[in-house]
Amino acid sequence: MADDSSQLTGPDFEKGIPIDDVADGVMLLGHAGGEAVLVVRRGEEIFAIGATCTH
Amino acid sequence: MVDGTVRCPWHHACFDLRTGEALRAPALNDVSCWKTEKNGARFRITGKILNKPARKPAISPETVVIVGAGAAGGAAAEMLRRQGYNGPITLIGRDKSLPYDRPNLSKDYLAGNAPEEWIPLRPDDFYREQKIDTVTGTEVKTIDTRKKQVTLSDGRSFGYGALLLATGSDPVHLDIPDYDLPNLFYLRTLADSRRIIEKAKNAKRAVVIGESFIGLEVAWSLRERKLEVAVVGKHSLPLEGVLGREFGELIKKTHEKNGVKFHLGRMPARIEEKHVQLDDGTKLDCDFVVAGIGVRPNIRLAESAGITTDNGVVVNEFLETNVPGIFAAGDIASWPDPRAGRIRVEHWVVAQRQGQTAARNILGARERFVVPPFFWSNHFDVHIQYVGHSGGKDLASVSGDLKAKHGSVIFKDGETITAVASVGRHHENLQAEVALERGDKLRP
Repeated sequence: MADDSSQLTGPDFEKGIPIDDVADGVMLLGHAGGEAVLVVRRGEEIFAIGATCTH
Repeated sequence: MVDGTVRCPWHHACFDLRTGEALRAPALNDVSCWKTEKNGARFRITGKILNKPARKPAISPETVVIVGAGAAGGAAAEMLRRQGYNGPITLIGRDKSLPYDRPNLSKDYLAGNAPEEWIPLRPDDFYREQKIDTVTGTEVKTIDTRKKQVTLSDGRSFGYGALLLATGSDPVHLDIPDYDLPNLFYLRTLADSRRIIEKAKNAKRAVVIGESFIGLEVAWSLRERKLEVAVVGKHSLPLEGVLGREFGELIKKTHEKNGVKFHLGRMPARIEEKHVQLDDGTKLDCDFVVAGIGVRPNIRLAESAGITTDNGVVVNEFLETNVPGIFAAGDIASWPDPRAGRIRVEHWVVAQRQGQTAARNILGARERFVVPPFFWSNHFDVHIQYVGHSGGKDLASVSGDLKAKHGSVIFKDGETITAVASVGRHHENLQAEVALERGDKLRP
């Protein structure tokens, strides 16, 4: 989780990335639609949620 | 990342990986959730998920009444709606303000570094939009558990299907003559914080009584306002009982370096208009005094309704009292922690999380409250995170370098780790939370 999304870093997930770039159980920070997004792989499943803590 | 959740290292908020749902306070809003697509060896995001499926609670009480509009009460009201409860919710608070960010009142807000708009947890229209009826500045006087009805100080009555008690606590007052002097302040509510700010604007010197969290945070905030600050405390080292000797020394030195004067091992004997006289005769000149010597849980309402109390309102692991349908959360709740046994703590995040769990259980979730207690406290550039619950007799060992503001104190009862306090080590503290939760043996 990040506390500031003003600067986007990492890959643009909308363009797509090689699946092998996301290791199992590891979080990868990138962006989509102008928002910081965390991508997480758990086995065969891949999840993507907003990376900025809402607190 | 922990199992199916993502945790924020700052204040340990917890989000669902599948849905982005804010499962645990202090975060109250979900994060966004995105659709993903795998195509051969590549993966991409195809868009944001905007409409989440509606939920339906297992049980839906006719009405829910929440007594107390602080951390626990506010979080519970929101969670009831988020879980799809459609019945009437009434949130009744003695405070004149709707739920606000209480931790800030002794920190940045008091220091003058937080704007007014940071303080309410939600804008006023949030409660209208969510159809949460709010009653402010009004106390609940009695609960009739047979008729399932509460009666307010203004004479009104509300029936309830389920009831949540979240009445919080009030500051302990000094036991000295003329304690209601106009220049003596206590800090609990937004109004209290504003009164101290007003007083500080035209003051040069303040005395803080109490060397624990509230007292020291007030000292820091008043130093930020360029006042001369003296702290009087009965213990020889601040916060030693909670955080151990090493942290006590670090906090004391940090305050001293920033100009706070300590008078430890002392209590005030008299408070006069322009000075405080200590029990050894020392006179400390000051324009006003703030006392932060602890709080007392407000359990009289529960007691008078025949609900079991014992240094708090006694609840089971589901946060339900001995009266079915009546739950308690926050400062007043004495609950069976899976590690520490029956405890009662006065932490913001714990109160919010208990409010959330109680709300889910009001709707039939049968969710045990098992999260280790967590709090944070700021002292100038020393930002402390603490997770777990140490009984006070535990052995403390240091990992890292506290003086360099990068280390942890690990508390152990025999071989079992009970709590970890950290500075500059967010991830270590978060990992400790996860390990405590899982019951793993932590590496010392």
